[in-house]
Amino acid sequence: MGQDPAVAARDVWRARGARSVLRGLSLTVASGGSVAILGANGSGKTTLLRVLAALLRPSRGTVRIHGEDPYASPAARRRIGYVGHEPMLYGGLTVLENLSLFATLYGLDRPRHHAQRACELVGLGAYRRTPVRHLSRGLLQRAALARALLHGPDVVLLDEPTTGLDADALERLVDLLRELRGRGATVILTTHSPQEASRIAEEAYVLAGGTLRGPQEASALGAGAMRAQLSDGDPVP
Amino acid sequence: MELRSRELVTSMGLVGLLALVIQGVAAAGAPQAAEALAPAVLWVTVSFAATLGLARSQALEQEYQAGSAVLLAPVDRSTVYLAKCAAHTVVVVALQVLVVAGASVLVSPEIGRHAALLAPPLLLGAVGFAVVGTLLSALALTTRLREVVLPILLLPIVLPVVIASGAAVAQVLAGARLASLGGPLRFLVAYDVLFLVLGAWLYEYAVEE
Repeated sequence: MGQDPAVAARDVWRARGARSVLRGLSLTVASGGSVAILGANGSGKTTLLRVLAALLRPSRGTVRIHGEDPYASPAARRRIGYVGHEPMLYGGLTVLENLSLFATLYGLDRPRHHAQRACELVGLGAYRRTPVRHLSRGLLQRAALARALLHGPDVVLLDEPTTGLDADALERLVDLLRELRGRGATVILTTHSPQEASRIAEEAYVLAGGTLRGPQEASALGAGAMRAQLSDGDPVP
Repeated sequence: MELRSRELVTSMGLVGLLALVIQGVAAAGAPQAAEALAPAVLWVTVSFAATLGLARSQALEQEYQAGSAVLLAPVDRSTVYLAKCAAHTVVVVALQVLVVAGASVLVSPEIGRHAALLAPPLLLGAVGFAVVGTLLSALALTTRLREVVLPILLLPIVLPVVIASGAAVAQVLAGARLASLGGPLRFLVAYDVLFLVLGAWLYEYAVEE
């Protein structure tokens, strides 16, 4: 019996206001795969990741994480780590308090130990007792990464994860994701940058017109090719 | 977070105190009516201050989208709802303690003298308020005018709680014992249980975008 893919979205539709942002989108990513999703502003990249993370319910179609519906199954949600545009932390709590809280929610033994480790992993050790509200944009992004990776997810969804990161943090992120993939985790990220896509992912899709075009090798995706694909009606070569 | 910042209790307490002062001053012209007005004073104050508190509580969750992170967690959404109800009940009860203390000074000392007997109807009222408020504040989040929508939705739905709890408060201040409060207290228990079950079922739909 074959193993379920890590992520399987089939015929997914989702509207934002009166406009269908995702129109019958399908995506399958095997365990251990790494996929970059590129697209213009407003193309639906964030909506797609939020649907995969079970923060949005598709109006039609199905999403499965290792064969289970993440909306209905807490066990499926346990396997997901998600970083969005917002850090998803409590502003009035320190970094360590936030991470300890989420470690408890994820059922981890010794939540504080896991929280400390997550802080070290993303280079936030010196800021662990700083209230989240007092962190800079880049440090907030690191804290969000710590939250997403705290529980050792095997499906990692990252929405423009390099936003606000300095060079050191970017290198840490790339190393972290390589390490995760080495352990068999599946990574899906959205980005505007083909260069970033080729550093982090093996395959790339372009989201345009509510559907995905691809896959193609992320390393082969130059800026010019991407612009062509974002134009209406241009097929993937 | 609330223990450190005391943001919710402070803002609710200030609004509650202001409401008490205004009502106390307005009732000063008719001191003989103060006891009769006490249930209304208590619940007008608690309703408006608690609604503010619920809205503030949601705003804190929205600040950095922390509420979304809780929804990502492998926890049943009905469990999240029940936990929020418990937290909101504690905050409303803390507010009620302040309001009863303030009303004893500003409206009628009889309120303070009967505080122990006032506890059951006020506590059951707090539960009802928190249970409905938690559900509706999640629902209001997805609307544009959420600060306006929440009181518009909440206050009519919790009106039965206010009426029943207010009736029990009036009976206590008129000298009734706990045993004779059966009718309003049973109603409050039934209301709380009904909306707790409804809320636990509906919460996952209320938090959907």
